Amino acid sequence: MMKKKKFQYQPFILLAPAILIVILIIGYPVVRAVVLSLYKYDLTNLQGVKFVGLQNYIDIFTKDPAFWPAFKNTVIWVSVTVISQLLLSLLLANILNKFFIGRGIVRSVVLIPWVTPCVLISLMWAWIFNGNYGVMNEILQKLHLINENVAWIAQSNTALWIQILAMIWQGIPFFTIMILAAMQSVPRELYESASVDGASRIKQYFYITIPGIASTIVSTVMIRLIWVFNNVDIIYTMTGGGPGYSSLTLSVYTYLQAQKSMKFGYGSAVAIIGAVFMSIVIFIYLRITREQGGMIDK
Amino acid sequence: MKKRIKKLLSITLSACMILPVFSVSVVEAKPEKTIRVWYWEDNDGSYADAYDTWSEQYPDVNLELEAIPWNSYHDTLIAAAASGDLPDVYKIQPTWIPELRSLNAVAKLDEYIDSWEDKDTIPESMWESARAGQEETYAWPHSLVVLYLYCRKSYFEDAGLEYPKTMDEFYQACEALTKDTDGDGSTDIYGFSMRGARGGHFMWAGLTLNEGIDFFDDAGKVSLNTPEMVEANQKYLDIYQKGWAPKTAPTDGYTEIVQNFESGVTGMLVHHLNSAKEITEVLGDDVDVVALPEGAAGRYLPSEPCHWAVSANSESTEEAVNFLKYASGEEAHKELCKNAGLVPFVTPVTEDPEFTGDKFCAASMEYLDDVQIFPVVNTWGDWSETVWPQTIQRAMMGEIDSAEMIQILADNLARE
Repeated sequence: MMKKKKFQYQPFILLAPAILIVILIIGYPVVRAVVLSLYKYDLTNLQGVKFVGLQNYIDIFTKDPAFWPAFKNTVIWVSVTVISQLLLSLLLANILNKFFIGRGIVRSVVLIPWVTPCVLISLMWAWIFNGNYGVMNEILQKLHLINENVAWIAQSNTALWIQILAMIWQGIPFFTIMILAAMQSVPRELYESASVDGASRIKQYFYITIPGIASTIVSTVMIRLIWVFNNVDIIYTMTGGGPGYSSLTLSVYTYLQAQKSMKFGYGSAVAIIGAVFMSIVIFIYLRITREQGGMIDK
Repeated sequence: MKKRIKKLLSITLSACMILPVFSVSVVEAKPEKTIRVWYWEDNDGSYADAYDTWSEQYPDVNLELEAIPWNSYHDTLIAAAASGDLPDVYKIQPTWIPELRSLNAVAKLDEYIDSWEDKDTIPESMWESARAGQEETYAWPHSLVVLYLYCRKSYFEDAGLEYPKTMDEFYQACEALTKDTDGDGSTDIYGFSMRGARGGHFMWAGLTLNEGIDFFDDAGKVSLNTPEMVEANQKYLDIYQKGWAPKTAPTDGYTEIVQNFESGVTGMLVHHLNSAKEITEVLGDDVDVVALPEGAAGRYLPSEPCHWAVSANSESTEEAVNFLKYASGEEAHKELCKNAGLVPFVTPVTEDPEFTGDKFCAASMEYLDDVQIFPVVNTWGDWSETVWPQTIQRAMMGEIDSAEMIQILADNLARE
């Protein structure tokens, strides 16, 4: 006769503090945001707070002129930034992985954009691309690429791209350091054996280095996807999402609605839509990259 | 030697133990009450300097001044009001009163105002502004600035122009001052420092609503959407679209418009006394100031008054009101106006030659009674902070026309 297994409560007790903390600092705000998104909740008019069901969501999708431009900008903002950062960081990490005089100094200097506050980065790039005094206009005019000053961040067709440039510059060090660390953890013996077997440098790179750093790239890209999506400070400081809606992203729009217009219900609904969209992107990304060490099991 | 060190150590330790006893007595001697005051700076350090005689007049009440950056002031204040964590006294703009009332965050001040013996030193127009169209008074006059037009003297002389008095003359000046000075085919000087970013609705209102238009009619209905307003707004948009304002105008905020004027990129700027000190430091005598141009219905002078409010939850209301009286006293008011670049309104400071002899201050004081206060409605915060900049930027870019812009502005002002 089989003995009935006694319920093991000890693991649950040991896990309880961690679960409690997760519920308090992640679970509660998420649930609260979902609940708020179902209300007309303007902080400036608390007497007018009322349950509106899905009306905020319906308004966002059907009436709000800013939502779809913000959605489109978010897709461009996240995809162009992260892909560019990845490619440029791969190049930089390869250079820094080779020995050259002053490599230690260069490795430290490379970190400067990452440790610089975002607001300073925004101001710096805003000055570089200032339409009246910016150094970029001066350089391009000397190179005869433009005839007159261009208002880079005040034109709807260039504003977002300048901010993407600033964001790429800011995020490259993080990617580079992660990839560099992964590259240095690839066993030397593999390269030696490959050399003995007659594999060229390019083959070694694609058959040893890339597979060796794939899992790091997968997780770093995922982190950057989330961080870049959530970034508010660069865009808010440089243009506030303007001119018009031309550089408005979902995160900046959420900030404007909740923090500037004090519309907590509507702002929460925009935030929830953004979070759901990002969760879908991350899920698809992890499904696609599961061969390379993504977090979803085969 | 060892003995000496031991002795020294024991003395030091004993002194350390005795010190707290003295410090306790110091704490006991400190004022029993503290009033917290929140404000945003007009010029750094000006408030602390202006109110440094408070402790002499009210030794029993400690004054805690806390400056909050302007960009986050409104958000911080509303969040504090919603969470019941407001300071005793805080600076506001009258358009915020409905929001603060809905949060039960402001105390009624009528009783204190009526019983104040120096009430008449503040003009009735300022008390009216503090009432902000409400039945009761929730605010106490703090400061006022009046918009005017800065003109670059040498640019006008070179162009043979008089300073504009009417809107037609203003637009003519915008065009005439716009120049390609080095003949390379691109504009080097623009007529007007236009502000398309947040805060630009002041100059926009001053240069469009003078055609006899107002935000609301007497019945309280939005009256912005009229053919006259669409036409006046198109003329305003033309400043950018015809190239009389810098190409950066859609995203230019306060810093940019002032820098453009100071550096000679533009010939005219609409702002107020706050920027006079900075501008004269750079341009010296090469700047003059005139009243905003008149439209078909005269002048529209949108003002930016600021007031003090007392928290409804304050446990030191009496002391808070004493602070308001102190701040409106001759000495503190004069000092603050001088340091912060504000227009004096308290008698007899208004007659002080230090202010009347200054051309910028005099130009402000001349029209003190003609200023227009923006509508005090719940939608104003969202309208001015988000809707206006986004909408005018889209219109400047040509994404929407003047009629669509005015329609959006009117709809958002009327929104429930």
